[in-house]
Amino acid sequence: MQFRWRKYRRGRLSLLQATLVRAVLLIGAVTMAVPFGWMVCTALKDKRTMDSEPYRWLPKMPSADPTVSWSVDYLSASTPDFEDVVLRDFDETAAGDDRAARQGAGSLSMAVDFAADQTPDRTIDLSSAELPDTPVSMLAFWLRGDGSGHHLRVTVHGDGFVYRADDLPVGFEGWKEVHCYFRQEQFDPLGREVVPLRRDPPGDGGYVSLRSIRKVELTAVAEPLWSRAWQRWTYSFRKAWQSMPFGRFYLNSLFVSLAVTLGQVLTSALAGYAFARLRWPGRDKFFLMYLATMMIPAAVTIVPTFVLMKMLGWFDTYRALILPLLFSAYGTFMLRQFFLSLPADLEDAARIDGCGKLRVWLHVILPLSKPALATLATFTFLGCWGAFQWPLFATQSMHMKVLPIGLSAFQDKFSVQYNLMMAASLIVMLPTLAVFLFNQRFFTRGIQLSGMKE
Amino acid sequence: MTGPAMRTVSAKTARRLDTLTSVLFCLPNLIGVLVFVVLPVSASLVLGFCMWRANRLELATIDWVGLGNFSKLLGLSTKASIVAVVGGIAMAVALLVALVVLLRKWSGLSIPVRWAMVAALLAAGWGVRAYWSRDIHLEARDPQFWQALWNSIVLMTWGVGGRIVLCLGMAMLLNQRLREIVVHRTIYFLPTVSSAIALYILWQALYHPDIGVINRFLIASRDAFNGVVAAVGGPETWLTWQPPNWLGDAGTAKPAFILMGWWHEMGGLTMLLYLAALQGIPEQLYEAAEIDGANAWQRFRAITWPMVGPTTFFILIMGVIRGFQGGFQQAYIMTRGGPAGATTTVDYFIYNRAFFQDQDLGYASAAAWVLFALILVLTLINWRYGQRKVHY
Amino acid sequence: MRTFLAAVIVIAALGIYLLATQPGETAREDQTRIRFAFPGDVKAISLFSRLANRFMELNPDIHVKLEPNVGDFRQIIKRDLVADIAPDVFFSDDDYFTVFADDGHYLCLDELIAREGYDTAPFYAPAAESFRWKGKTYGLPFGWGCSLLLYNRQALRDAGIDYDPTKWTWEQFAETVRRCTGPATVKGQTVQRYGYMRDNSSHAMCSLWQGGGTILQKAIVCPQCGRRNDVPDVAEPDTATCGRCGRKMTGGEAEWRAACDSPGALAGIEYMLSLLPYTPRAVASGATEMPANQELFAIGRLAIIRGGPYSAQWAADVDVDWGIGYFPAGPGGRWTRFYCDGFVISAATKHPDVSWRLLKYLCGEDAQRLLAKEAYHVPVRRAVAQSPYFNRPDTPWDESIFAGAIEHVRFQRKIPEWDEASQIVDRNFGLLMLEPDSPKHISAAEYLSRCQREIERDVFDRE
Repeated sequence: MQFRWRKYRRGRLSLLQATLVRAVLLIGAVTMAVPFGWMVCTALKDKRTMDSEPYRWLPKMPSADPTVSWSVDYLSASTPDFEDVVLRDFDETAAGDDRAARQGAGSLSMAVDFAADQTPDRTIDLSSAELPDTPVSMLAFWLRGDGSGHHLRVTVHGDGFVYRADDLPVGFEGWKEVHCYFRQEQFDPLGREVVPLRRDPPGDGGYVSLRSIRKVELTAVAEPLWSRAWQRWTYSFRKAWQSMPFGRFYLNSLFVSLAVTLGQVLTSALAGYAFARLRWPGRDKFFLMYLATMMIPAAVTIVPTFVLMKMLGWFDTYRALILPLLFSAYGTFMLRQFFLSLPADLEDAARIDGCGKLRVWLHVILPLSKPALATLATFTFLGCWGAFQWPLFATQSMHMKVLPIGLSAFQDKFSVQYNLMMAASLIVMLPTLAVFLFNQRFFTRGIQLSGMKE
Repeated sequence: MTGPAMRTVSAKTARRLDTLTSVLFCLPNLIGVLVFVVLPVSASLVLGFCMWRANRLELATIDWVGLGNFSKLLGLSTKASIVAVVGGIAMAVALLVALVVLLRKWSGLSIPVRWAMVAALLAAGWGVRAYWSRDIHLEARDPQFWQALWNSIVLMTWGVGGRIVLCLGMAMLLNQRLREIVVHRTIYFLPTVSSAIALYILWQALYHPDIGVINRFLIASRDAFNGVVAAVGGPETWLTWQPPNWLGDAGTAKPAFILMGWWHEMGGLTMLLYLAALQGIPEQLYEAAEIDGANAWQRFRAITWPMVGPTTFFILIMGVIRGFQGGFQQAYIMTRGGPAGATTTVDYFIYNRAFFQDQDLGYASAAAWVLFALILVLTLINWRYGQRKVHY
Repeated sequence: MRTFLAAVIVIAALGIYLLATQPGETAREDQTRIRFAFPGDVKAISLFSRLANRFMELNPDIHVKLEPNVGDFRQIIKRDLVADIAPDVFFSDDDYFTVFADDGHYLCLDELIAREGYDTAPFYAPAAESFRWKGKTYGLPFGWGCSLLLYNRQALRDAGIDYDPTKWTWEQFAETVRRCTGPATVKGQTVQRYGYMRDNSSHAMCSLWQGGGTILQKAIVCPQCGRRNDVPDVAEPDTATCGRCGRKMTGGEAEWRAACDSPGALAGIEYMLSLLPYTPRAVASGATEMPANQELFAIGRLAIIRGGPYSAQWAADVDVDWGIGYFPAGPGGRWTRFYCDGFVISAATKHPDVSWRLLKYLCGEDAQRLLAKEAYHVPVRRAVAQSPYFNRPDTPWDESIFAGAIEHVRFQRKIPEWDEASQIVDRNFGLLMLEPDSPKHISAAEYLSRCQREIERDVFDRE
């Protein structure tokens, strides 16, 4: 008896019954969906908190207003040795620890009405300034966004070159530090806006002499509403993706999970067959041993396994991630139970026809047990995709990490940025969700009852 | 081996060859399991008799302590008066007798034995009284382990019980012919394909006592209810209860975990197993029952429940094993085992002792083996008594 | 069969691709390769990879392999140390420093320091002290921090409070917390506001110190007259003088004992408990309490939150007018907990000199400037902490208050036994913080006497 996703009870329900069932299912479905809804809604927000009173589920839409009012303050450049060279502090007079006094007053403001076709740029002229002849790696300034989501283009004009930033979407409200890098940094810090600058003509990507910089141009670029909404809603996802080499983690996870799944199904099927149908000395004793090993929690075997990996010289390799998981007592147990339930006649017939054991296994047993194999594959894949403790122990290099480890890097010691955390979680969950949503049969085809009973 | 070929080799050689090829089938898995599973597990058994704080990977840093770990884990220090000791012995006898009764039928016992049993039960009552009146004072040498064990038992029992009830109910609902049923099945299955770590972090946010979605909902519904009461002329604020402080309160932390577990499992693999079992029940059985005039409950009792028996049995066995082994991730991510140890399961206890608290691998291994023994006994009992029921 | 073949092909392709794109040995022939490990949260990765890249630019003969470790850093580094695969230079915080130092896992730096005349004077004294054990130096400090308070100015105004949050006393603070608690109007909505947040076990220590108590007391036995002298945590036998005979106690035995059931400690704990009615209910424990309280603070429902220099970054995003204050001063003083991160060299390293160069760079002026700008720790070099790099004119908050907290910090030596002691304290603190009607709830006096008894019994094996 095989389970099918699109199969139902044959009997028809009366209208009353159907309504009742529908109501219960609907309530249940809402209960199931609300946490996921919260997850998605949080990931769509661009701020760290749930901070609104009363709680607002959906992120704000940017306003349709065709105006921007931004302020820029405290333009500085950073030398390779992390010294700051202040290029322009627009507000030399204000002092004290009052937030309003320290920022806001006297900053360079841009109020642009796109509809009125005003000049949408501000130029900070540095040619007259007495700048030291020092190399710099980046420009930094503070920017107060108005939440409108229009873009800001940063252009740095110098002697014989121009550096341009990808348009910086200013979706945020309030002051934020913006870093514009002349050089590519591998991992971008969170909590501030980071903009890579592109050189024109292309250069070697090295430091730039501060003296050769002539002016910095800030241009307001109008964006259509849908694009601004999109930019704002995908903010957390982009930020999360930037902060870790998730691409590599993805491939690692995929490779390890697939390899473990395939290997485990293969070895378990072979051994399950041997335990179910073949006769050899010590079979039942070994089977009992298999059963017993399932009952020991993994916590205490991690260290001995690690010692073993180290002795074999496999530490921090794919072998360490894959091999210890390839051989599963659980899989063998499950498949053995399933094979026992298969009718012996077919097998005998094949044997009489002159098939060897391998051919019986390959041509009779395996085709008959597709559902059980699929079930085992599903269990194994899901388990492996979410595994955390062993991959953490078995690897050391950044390029060997798997997805759940990347996810846990967002759990800061001191604070959790829920929007980034949830966005990263969704990134991790997406492939399994997608496979599941588009091909549910793959996941559930094989849920099989008879494999489970003695 | 075809017929003619068999004639060329002697029967003995053929048998040997047969055994050899059979073993070959098992060999890849067997070697793997021996090296990567049995070897570490055996190492942990040896470690259970040692103290190893692991300063270096050298055998010299491992101290043999014999049964020390086990006596520290399970040991009870007792203070008892003579009366209490008698009561305690009586209690033990009563327990033994109860076991005998369990194993053999009451009616099969002779009259003197029955009298002896009544006497033993009375003695047991005396023992219980002695315990409650503090004549016997029991104190565990490692109370944390006992607490963890208790937590594990509570979480496992409610988890498995709830899972069986909920998943069977869900499967019966989802087995109906309704147009939107596939959508429902998909929604209910979502948590199973989601990353567990992400879900725990999510639930931790949902359970926030002040601004979590759950308590916001509870407060809003309370206020709405109060509003209605006030509108029809009732008191201004009729309901004054505060929503629970889910993870922050020793009393509600375990229920919070259990609820989350149910949510997680309601439409998951267990439900699918039940769905498969339900789909395997021949429709004629129900038709026949309907003709006989059986109502829904009778149909459930007489057909559905026995027919899904093997599935229930499998879920029970695996649930007990997994339930006792689980609980580390939830506790680590959501509560760190707190408040006041209310969510420390044996699994978390083992991890904690192995890697965080004492960092004594020996002690942690001993705890794991105690857990193993417990699981083994429970599984055997399940096997013995469950299977009898299953084979209808 | 088709599925199987497809899977094999996909796995093979993936495997080949992954192995081919593995960053191989990136160190050149003429380079010395050393490994550098640190906690792999997103902020630290950004900070330390920038530092390491700059270091390699300055030192072309060295290649630094970065190893960010996610998960529990201590556990991972212990695995590496035990298995003899430790990185050459790695991060260490003062929580477990002495544990590994005592086991001989760290390279002693005294020789290198003496050889080069490396000057540790520019460091804040408790920071340098954090990486010394039994009179020897095993590491250099990087950034320090301590617990502080962030307060919502509007909430204090609403309550009519005009105490100076950098100077307040126990009574004033308690009054502030009490008056801030209650219904408040935030953005037109009436909400329940709380005055302060619940302390966790390690912060309850601050109240305990403020009351005049301590958990562990160090004593040195005078080798001349045999008197047991109670000394501060940092005192060593060859520097301390005997209280009776007045001579240097060089060669004297240092010993520790539990001292938590003093009246001062009781006063501190009771003061902390007296604030509980004005705090939001506990949110689980340990790792999870801060984010939840930060959310409350961000929506204006929490008037005062505990924080540290690291708080400035998240609080910058918050739509609340906040200021920075110190803990209140109790009868025992205005104490707060000092913590310090730093770097150490593995005792097993094959390149001690190259590692030492990296260590010096990481704790040098340049690196301190970057740390100062990233601002989640206070730089350990006094000059940088007082410079505009840390006390930035462009940020809306005043960093000098963070650095000024050095006046009130208490350096606590976390001896190897501290691990076990703090777990006892934690466990009993959980019971103390249970609802009073819970059967397992214990009183403050009971809490302290249990800690005292169990630490003496289980940690020091004394009855």
